[in-house]
Amino acid sequence: MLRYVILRCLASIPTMFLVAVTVFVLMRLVPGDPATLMVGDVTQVERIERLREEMGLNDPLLVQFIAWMGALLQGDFGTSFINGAPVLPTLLDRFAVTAQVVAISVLLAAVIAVPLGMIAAWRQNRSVDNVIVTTSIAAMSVPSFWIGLMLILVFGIELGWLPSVGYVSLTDDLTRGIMYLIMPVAALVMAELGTILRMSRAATIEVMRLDYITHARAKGLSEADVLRRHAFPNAFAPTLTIIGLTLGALLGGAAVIETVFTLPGLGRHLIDAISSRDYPVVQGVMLLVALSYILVNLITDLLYPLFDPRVRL
Amino acid sequence: MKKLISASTIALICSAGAAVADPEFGGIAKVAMKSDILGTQPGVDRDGITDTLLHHIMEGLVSYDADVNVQPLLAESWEISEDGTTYTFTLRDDVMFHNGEPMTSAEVVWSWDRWLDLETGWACTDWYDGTEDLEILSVTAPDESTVVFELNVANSLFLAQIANIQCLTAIVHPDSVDAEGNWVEPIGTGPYMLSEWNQGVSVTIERFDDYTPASGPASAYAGERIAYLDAVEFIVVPETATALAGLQSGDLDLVDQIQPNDRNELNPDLVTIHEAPSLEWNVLLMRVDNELMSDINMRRAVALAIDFAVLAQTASSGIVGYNPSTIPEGSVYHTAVQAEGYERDLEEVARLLEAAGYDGTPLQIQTNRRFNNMYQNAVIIQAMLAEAGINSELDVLEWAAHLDNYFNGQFQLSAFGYSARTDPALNYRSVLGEDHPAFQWYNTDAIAMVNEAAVIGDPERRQALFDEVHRMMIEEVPTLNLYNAFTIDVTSNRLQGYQVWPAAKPYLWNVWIEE
Amino acid sequence: MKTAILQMRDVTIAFGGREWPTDVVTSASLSVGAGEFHAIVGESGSGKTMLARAALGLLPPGGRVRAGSITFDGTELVGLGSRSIRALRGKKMGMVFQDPLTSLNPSMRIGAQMCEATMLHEKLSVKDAQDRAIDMLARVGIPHGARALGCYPHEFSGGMRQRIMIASTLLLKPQLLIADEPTTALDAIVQADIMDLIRDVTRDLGTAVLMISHDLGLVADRADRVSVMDAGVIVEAGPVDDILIEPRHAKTKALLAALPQGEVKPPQSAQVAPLLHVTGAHVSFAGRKPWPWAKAPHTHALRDVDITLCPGETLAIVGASGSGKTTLGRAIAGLQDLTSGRIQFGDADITHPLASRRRELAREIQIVFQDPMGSLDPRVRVGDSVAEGLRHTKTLSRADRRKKALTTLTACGLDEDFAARFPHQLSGGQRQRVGIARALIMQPKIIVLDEPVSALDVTVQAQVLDLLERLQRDHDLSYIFISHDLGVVESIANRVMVMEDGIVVEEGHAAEVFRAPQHPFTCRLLSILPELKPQGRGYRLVRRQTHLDPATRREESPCPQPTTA
Repeated sequence: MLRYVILRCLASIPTMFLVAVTVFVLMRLVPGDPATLMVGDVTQVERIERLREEMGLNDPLLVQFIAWMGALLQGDFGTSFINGAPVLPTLLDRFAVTAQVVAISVLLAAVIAVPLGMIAAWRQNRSVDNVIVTTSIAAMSVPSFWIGLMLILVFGIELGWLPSVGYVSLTDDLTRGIMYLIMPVAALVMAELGTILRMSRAATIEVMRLDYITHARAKGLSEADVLRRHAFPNAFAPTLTIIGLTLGALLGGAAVIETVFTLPGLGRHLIDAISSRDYPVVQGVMLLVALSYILVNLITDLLYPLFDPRVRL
Repeated sequence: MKKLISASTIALICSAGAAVADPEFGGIAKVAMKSDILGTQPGVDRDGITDTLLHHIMEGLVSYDADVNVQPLLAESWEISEDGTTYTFTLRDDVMFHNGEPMTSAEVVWSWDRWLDLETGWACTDWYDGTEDLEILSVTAPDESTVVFELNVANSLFLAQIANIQCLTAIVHPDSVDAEGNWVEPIGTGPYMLSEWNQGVSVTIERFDDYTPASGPASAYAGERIAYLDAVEFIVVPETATALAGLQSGDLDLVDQIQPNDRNELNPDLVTIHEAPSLEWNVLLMRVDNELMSDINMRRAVALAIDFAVLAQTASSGIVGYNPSTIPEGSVYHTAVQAEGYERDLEEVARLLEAAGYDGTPLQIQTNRRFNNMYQNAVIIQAMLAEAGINSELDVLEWAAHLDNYFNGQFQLSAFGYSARTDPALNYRSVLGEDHPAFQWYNTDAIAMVNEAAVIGDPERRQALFDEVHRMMIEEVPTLNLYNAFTIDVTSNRLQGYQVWPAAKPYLWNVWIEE
Repeated sequence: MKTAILQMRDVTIAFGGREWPTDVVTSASLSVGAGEFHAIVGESGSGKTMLARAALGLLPPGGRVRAGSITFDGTELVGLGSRSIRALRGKKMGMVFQDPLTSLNPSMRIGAQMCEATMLHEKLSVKDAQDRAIDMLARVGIPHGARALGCYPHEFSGGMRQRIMIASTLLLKPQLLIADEPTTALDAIVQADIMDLIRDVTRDLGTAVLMISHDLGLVADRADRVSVMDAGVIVEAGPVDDILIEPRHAKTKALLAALPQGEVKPPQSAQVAPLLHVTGAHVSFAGRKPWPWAKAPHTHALRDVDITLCPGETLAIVGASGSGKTTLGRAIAGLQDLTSGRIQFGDADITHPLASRRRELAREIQIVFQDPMGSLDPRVRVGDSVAEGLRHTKTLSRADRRKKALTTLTACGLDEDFAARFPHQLSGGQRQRVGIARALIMQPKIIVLDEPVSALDVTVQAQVLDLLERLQRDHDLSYIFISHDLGVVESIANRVMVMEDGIVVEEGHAAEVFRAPQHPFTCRLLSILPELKPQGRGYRLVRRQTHLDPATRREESPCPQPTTA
């Protein structure tokens, strides 16, 4: 187990390096110049030149890359072009917000979707199944942007129960923080529910066909016991992978929800940084996203043997 | 009774229910901002949103009124020497910094030294260090209430530059920086003080109780500015739809710069809409060094193919009309001459196209979706060109790429826009110049005339120069002015006294809350 | 006759809606006496599994008992509520399934799975339940039961898992054990062991058995009574000896005819050069490295194996799973690299699969796989699957290739209209014919047949073997026939090679190997083969001679060198 963790960590080093190189090169291939963007439509050639010099953009690419990498290895993510603030602290703040919303959402979605998926599979092709599957597909097909606005319309404006703009951190004020989280979490849960539910349903159907389920029934176990003891652990293992992937993907990409619900999250930070060509921030965010993706997948894989003892790490 | 509404304000209050009542002190207003501020050091880590906020906290010697004329703010008055190179400001003696210290000439000199120091990274040093003719030779304080600026040449733009909104020449207390000279927090003289900056979420400013307003009628950034509100919370709301929802649910009191279409989403009983033309202007740029567009016949053909009145009407939902001039409509220099532009004439277009030997090659119009007006202009122009027999294709770029191409002159046609300039000479200097691809029009006569207008103070002479440059521009067709942009701001019904003005900068003084 | 514990009367089982039911079992009646071993024998699709499952109320979704009555120990089961039937399941009636790999829950420890039923039905404490489980494991031949309880199913072999299943089912001492093809997925030797185990343990416990099988030979000398099913109908039933000696129904006769008759093919007599020569074939697989820089542990699948195959000959390679026989077959077919050794095809060295010479000769050696479903693309029509091998043959037009595919299919006993079907529309036997056609269309000299009939019913097995023999004659083919069952190769092999742990332990002409085995393992393989001796109008079941006869040592070199040199 420990050996496995060490190996996986070692294996992630080249991945991270590749991400670093790719992001670095791609950002510089994309047209648009950070200095020009900062100056805007005011034609100030000298100022743009001075800014480029300050940002180190006039150095050869390799020199820029080595400088960035060198600092990175010492834990220095550099400073933002736009506001000169160190990249890392902001990054971590933003990440904490996203992680909080995404983790709660995915956990909640899993807690709802996995049992529902199993019930749907258990009652395959009957009315319960049809209702569950149709509803989940409907929720999946609606863009999360739209779900978000509808929630704001209903709960923010019509009913006035929940605040529609702003954000309060859970650590600052728990109850108010929760009020601000309800709608984004609900929107994310609705958007991600379907994927997990369908996986859980498919995996359960797969498992329910196997002889050990019939055998469990032949032993005289109740249907609830059959589902809980025999179907769940086996159907959950593949679902866990999907949950991990969803979590990983959302950690770097909940920008839409963050924008609609005015959450100061990582996705929005990335979008802002890309549109202002804030290279150090974009690079930092991408590295963090890649790292969190790798970590989430590692944790998923470490959890896997709990549900499927055939998998050895 | 304080005079609250500037006599000459252009703002139109569209909604009923905005009856003016007596202002009351108290309350907190919540304002949406599209993105977080970049920093608190004026003119250094700046963008439009940062400027808006910092103008509540810090002030300069002079400032703009609602007609975009320069008015005194921290200065009581000023004198200009005969040769136009010495400006002597007399400071008000009733101004206090947020830390309770009185403002004297020492802080003014200290502040100016800081902004002009290249180390500071202030955005507009080019204007004052000789890069663009003007150079401040010295800023001195002969006594506690007098500051003297020595310039290398006479320059009529000097006051307009120091009143500039983007590069606020804020007078701040030296305690705003630490011992190493690093910026800590703004200790200004504004009606509000910075209270809390919750990064990525919101910025709160609170009333500065020891603020003494300048004399003179309240007018935008100038005159008697009174903070009635206890505090203003600027909340980051990137998505307009969310902001408008928040406005209607009572979570917000002000959303600025919405699109005309967004007005349809609003419940008129819940909000008040404020509209006004602004100083920004929309253009269709044409590269005169492009092979096809270098032919004046071709450029004229494009100009005569467009129905500008309809374009302005459609794109602004009727808020503004065609402005053929580089000078904004609200400016005192915008006269009947400036209103002379092109008249659509499809027969003439056909003749010009033939003269140009146009073979139907599609013109490439660059645009972007970040700024909806630019995109809309491109679409409408494409349709109008097609009616006139000119083929064109839209090249929709990301804003950064579009801007990059503008700056490097890498386009054939470009639906573009310029942000506000506060003097006609500055407007012209945005398009007119040499030695750099970002300039659209190379005409040494016109450049000379604009340079002269930048130096002299005589309004009549200046008007004559601007009129002549406008005529030349219409003749040469280096670029097409479309219409001035417009501002649509929305407030909750409880926010009273709100005004929009041509600089399109929301301000939260002289407004109050009435439940 | 003993008192009937399970009584089925005129049971009709239907699938589909009430309006348009399809009957899969029609009016079936049978009774199982207490302690009796009752076998239901029939081909796949004959309805035998449905009938057995109906007794437990475990029909697949959509199935129901449409008519008739099933009584268990006096209780009518048809229409009984699910709670009441659950009380019977496990406690009074247990069931063992065909595939031991899927019938144990992979995510639960053996102990938890075995004990949950006793704890549920008898309210035993954990400790008592475990003691009972350990006892029962010992009875089914698993020592160290306490340790086994803490293991997961995947830590056991298929045979062991089936033993655990049986132990688990018998823990509650049910009055009836229903066993649905419990040994079909296992090696021949394990099959026999498990069958014997079921018979012995149930006899000790006094449990009645309802055994479902397609292999009459396997159950004939263990069952008391046999019911033969065909197309949903019980066509013949009675004591097993009566059925064997006097089969009345055609289906029963067909099932009997499919059993090995003890006839062995003569060796090839022609004096010819060998077609294929494998020398010193060695294959080892690298295991997982514990660290990237560590040396990987190796497992050896083949150790210095020599083979010679003569033209027109069938060489059978027989061994248990893991003996290396499949690896050898794959190496010959060019699907597996040799670690060392040499493969010669005629004069050509074809050791390295990717060498150009090897590719030229690729079509000369074809392979047919065990699982006919798994080896056919489910989205490709049969005709296209068969013609696929010809797609690089530039000289043939599309129409030519199609024509050739049709001819080949016909040669393999499939009508031309099969070409348009998809694999799922075919039966197992038909799919295997497609697999053979796919190999045959390349006009190979050698076909490697890897367990080509193991997944098929015995009657279908016989048909496919007949087809293979006919094709061999018509197309001048040489076969390498891989099987775990000596019985299967008896009628087709000229020579037999027995493998164990990657080593050839015995090799010789078929007749000699069957008559005078040289190795204990061969003897075991032979000992489990039933053999039918004609008696009266029917047969008598006999067991083979199994003793070693070292006196009759046989000659090596099965392919005599041409004497005309």
